[in-house]
Amino acid sequence: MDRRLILTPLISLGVLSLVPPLLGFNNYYLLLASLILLYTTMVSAWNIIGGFAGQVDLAAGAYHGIGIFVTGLLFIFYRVTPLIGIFLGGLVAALLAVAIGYPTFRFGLREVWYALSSLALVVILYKLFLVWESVGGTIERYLPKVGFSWFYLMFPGNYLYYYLMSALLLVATIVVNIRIRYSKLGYYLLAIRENEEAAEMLGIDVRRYKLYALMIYSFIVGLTGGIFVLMLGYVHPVLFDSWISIQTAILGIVGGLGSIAGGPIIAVILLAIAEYLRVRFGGYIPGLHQILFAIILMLIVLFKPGGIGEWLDSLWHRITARRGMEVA
Amino acid sequence: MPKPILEVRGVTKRFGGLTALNRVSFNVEEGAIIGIIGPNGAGKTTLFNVITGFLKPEEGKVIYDGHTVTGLPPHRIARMGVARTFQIVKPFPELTVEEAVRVGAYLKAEDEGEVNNIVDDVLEFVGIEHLRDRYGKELNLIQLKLTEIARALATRPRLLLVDEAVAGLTPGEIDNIIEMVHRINRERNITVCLIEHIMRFIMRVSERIIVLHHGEKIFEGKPEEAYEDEAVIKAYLGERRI
Amino acid sequence: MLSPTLLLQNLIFGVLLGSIYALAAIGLSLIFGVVNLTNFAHGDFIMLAMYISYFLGVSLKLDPILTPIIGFPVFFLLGIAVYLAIFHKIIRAPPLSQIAVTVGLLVLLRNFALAVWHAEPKSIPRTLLGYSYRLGSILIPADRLTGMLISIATFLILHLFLTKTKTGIAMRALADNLDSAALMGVNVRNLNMLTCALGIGIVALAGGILLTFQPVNPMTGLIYGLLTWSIVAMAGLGGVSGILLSGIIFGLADAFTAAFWDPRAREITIYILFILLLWFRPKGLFGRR
Ligand SMILES: Nc1ncnc2c1ncn2[C@@H]1O[C@H](COP(=O)(O)OP(=O)(O)O)[C@@H](O)[C@H]1O
Ligand SMILES: [Mg+2]
Repeated sequence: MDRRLILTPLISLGVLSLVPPLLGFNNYYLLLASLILLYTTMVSAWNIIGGFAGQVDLAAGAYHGIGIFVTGLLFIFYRVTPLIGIFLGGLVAALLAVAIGYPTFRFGLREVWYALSSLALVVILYKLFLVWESVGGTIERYLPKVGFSWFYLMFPGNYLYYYLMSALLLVATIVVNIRIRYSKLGYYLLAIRENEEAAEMLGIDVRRYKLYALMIYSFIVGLTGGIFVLMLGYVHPVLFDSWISIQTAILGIVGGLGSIAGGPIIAVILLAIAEYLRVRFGGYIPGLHQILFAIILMLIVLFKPGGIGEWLDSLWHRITARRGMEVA
Repeated sequence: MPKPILEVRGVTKRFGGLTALNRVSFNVEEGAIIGIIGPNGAGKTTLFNVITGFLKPEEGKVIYDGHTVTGLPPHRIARMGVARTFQIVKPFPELTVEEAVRVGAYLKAEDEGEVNNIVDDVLEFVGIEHLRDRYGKELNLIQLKLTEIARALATRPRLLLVDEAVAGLTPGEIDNIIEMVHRINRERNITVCLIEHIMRFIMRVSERIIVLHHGEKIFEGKPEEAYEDEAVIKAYLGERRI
Repeated sequence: MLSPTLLLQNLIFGVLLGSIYALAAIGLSLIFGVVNLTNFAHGDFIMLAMYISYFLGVSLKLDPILTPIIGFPVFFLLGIAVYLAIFHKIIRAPPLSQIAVTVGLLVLLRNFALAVWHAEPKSIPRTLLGYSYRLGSILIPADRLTGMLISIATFLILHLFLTKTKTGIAMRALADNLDSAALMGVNVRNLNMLTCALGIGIVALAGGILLTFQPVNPMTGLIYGLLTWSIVAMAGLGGVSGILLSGIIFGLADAFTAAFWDPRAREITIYILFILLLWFRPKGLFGRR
């Protein structure tokens, strides 16, 4: 067994469990912290398609929105417990990703065109749900009020539970990252990122492996939507948000492509600063945190393309692994 | 007569108006080292691209180990046992040499232990263990070429296609490569196809050569006979380094 | 419901709209083709141009259709500034870096607009062109007609520039990646800068025209960004006439969706068309390559 696979979840869960007491179990802060963890989860999931496989995916807002709508609508229309709804949301997101990803990779869309078509998907879904009145429409649809319920994962007025769910999902995503990185799948994805033709010649079915990366990523992002909607309490097409896509990719790139620790660490720090800026200055300059993200992104890409993850990774490697490649 | 591992039959490849390969046919016997030479633009790389499935020929077919492989994607052909290096190296800049070789090793290995064994074995065979932890972006040309050979060998091929391995290398480095090609062939029982556009080099490695010119096969036979062949001399006229 | 009049009406709407969309896209096409730069912020330059037009309209009581007189030189200089400050640093960078840096620029422009003009949509206080011509039961709005005429005039001038002048020919050679004689003695750096200046400058024309009939808000940039990239994708690298044609195709898709389905569904049709196009005609409909 790889020590990384035991140590990383233990350490990160340990750190994350210190947060609620530090925040004095303040509900509002716990809500913000949960959101930060969900956004961070998306960054960690994005690392699989963007960092490992090298595809500049900007569809996170779409898969997140699918998770929101599937979980939310199943609950609203059919009283399906989010315990199931969240996973169905992830599944539908992954199915959609494959439906779009298959032809996309089949026809060899790369780089700019991949980025643009994935971003277009967010807007398409937003508008589609806007005009599709029977499931979307312009007014919010609220989740049923069921009171405190484990079965429906409803914890009115207590965000600690959602914080814990988000923390678990984040840690699970990081573990998935580690599992992938040091396995055949991971090496294949990295090879695809580095040079697709060379990868093909080494026997890698490039299209198939890109699709695997896309499926895992979109499934996890779908799950984040499911948890998100429980905290929010309603669904609305505007939740297909292109900013989610952009934010996820920015943090993933700044954290360092393919770096397992870089993305999440950078994401938590920058998202926390962003929340602070939003609360403190949001009244005067509403987009201050976005401006901050944009400037950091441009500086990193122009002057330190490896991202923060480069040195974080070697540090992490030294702490958790005794020797180069250990057999999992 | 050993049976051919590779048969190229009447392959024609056009790019718009340009005929890069014109009804090229030849066989490669199992266990041979065969040289493919010809001036720049003769169609040599295109031939490799057709054999490995990167390009689909307009006419003709490629038969590997008794199976028609024309139209199959490169990864399927690789899985059947064909490996290649590229004329313009295609390195993995952000992966270490070990990781790059590892990528190749996964093709045939059953488990991680076997992957590790293949990687160690191939790095030693090619003589680049000392580069193990160096990143692709830190390597010089000869190191990149050796890594590419190691990567290809890690897939456990039966047929290795090498596209201009020695272009840009010093005489000492060329000797190193020649010796290695021989070892790959003898010790590993791998059939080798070498592309070169310098004839001198090919003389020292292959018993049999094929000469391409303007997409046509103009000669096939022993290297020393090529020197006396009129068509070959004409094709190379004006090329100084024969 | 599908009366011939309605069809003809929307045909005309689509062509008018599309030629204006083409004008909005031509700068992106130039910069992508000649400078080899992937600019994700193009739509946000359009958005900014609309705001500038709005600003001039309010502060100087200028008709939006006239604002490019000031807007064009300003955006021409803005193009040079952006080239010197950002673009020229990433010209040789891998696609990911170009995408990342210009996405950063997109976010900056969007939030600049948000800080200055806030989130509510803004439209022009008034325009001299707020009337329509009538041909039987067909309406031809004067603002869009003027826009189309300006667009076609611009395309003609651009075409002459690219085929008849030494600089223009060098630009085309650069777009074809030819290291040919056309490039001998031409400073590629200056050529790139000029292309950016021209490409962003023309955005000011499009912005002024668009504002005569469409409101602007900070998120408008994303919509126009994807729209103009769609047009470039359809046109391939086929030169200015390809852009005009594919602009019109998207204009028609826009007009017909708005008329026969739902005005809010315009982007659905346009972007699905875009994605299908990328799948089945990755080199564009009108591309030479
Ligand atoms: N993908 C391609 N598209 C168009 N022409 C090509 C392509 N690949 C090769 N060619 C042309 O085919 C001819 C043969 O090229 P190539 O096989 O690379 O020659 P060699 O390897 O013998 O130097 C050349 O004229 C080259 O320009
Ligand atoms: Mg060649």
